Amino acid sequence: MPVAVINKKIKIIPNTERITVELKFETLLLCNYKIQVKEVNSNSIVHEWSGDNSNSEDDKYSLGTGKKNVGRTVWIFLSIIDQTGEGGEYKITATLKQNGEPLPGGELTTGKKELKPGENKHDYILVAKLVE
Amino acid sequence: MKIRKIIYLFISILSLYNPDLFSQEMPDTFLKKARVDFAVPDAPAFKILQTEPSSVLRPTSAREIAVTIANLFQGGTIPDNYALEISPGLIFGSSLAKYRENPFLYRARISFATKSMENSARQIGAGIRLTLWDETDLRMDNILQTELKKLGEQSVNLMSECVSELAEEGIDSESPNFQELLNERLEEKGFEKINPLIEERREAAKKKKWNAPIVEVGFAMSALSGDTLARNLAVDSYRWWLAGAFPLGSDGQVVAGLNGGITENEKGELKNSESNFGLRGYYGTNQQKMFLEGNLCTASAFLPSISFNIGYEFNLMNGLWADLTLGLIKKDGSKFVSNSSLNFRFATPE
Repeated sequence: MPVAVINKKIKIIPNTERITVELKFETLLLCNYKIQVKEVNSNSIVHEWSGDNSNSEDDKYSLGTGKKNVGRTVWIFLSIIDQTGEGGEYKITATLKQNGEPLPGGELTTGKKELKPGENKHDYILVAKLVE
Repeated sequence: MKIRKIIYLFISILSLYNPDLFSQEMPDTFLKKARVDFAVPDAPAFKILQTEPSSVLRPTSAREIAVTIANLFQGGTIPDNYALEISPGLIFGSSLAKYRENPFLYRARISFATKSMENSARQIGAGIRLTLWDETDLRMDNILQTELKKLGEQSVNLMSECVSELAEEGIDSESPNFQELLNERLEEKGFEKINPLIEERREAAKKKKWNAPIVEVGFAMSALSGDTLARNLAVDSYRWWLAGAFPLGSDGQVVAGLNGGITENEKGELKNSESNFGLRGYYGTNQQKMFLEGNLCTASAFLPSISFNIGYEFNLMNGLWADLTLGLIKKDGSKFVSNSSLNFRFATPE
């Protein structure tokens, strides 16, 4: 299955309130992720985090203040792997928040999907461009 | 003299002919000759009603479960031919991390079914199946998980690498053909080669764990109502199952099963009981396999029955297999009666 790309522009307020990104995994499948925050109109990486859904730690990261993040792009690379060979359903959601509150339209999601037995892996890239 | 011996052997083999001779049977089907059924049913409620519902309702969230149960006996009547299966783990959310913390809950299954009888009578069945111990569970396999995480990391790293390369060429996520170019770039870098590696790692883990310990238990009860009203229900049977499998070296397995039940007698009393105990040892390689099993059945209305089976299968030459099974059974107070066979068959060469 080809890699699916989901693009979104998300409005943030350029103030001193903190922007965060949180990942939520609704699945029994194994998911790996990598988050990259890239500078305005540039390929340079400001922040980078990676992890997976096999532990109960929060998958929540701080991007810094709203003022600093205007124009930056958040790239979330996801790989969903079938550990048992039986397939399964999944839904992965990334929520961008400012000052702890979800931003309007600040949710990027794979939607509820199914990995069928024999497919082994699905991959996604969620891209959020932070605009004023 | 030698020719007479050959003819005698040929006639002996022909006398053992049965329709399976030279069939394209895979060697694994040999084990089906074992008579004892150890399995704890997936849905004990369906088993006790002896029904195989064509559609089963499987609510996937706490809310759905609550709504389904609330609707079930609405108006005090029993629904017609209904089948429901609930995984209690889903009440706590579908999460791999939570599964790994408490696999017992996620593996548990509650089943419920109804069946229409004559004269609008209804029978209902309710059951639970629990996996007490399961070392075969691949979600709990830390070695496999570490290997798959590495492949996942490889996958996300390749995606980010390709995105960076495209960005250097002035192609970003908003470019009209970004997704197409990205997938082409990933293909060039061998992204698709990760897929067969996942399968390879998983199959290796499965192979390693094929005879790992597992213990399961199941319980079911059924109740009968002379009409469609739930208030007239009366319990008419109970059934239970306990099964365990344990390794016997790297090529063998011991399986034990205990099951039983209580049903109504002619007077409508819950006094008819029966129980079965079975034990099977299995050992096999690609060239030869064997099993040895014993089974004891007791019932309040009959004398106990005992049976023993032994089976041995071996590869005579590539593709040609022979299997020998010997059985002894004693029931209804009679003497042991033998039941044996020798078969030859072709199977796909390994």
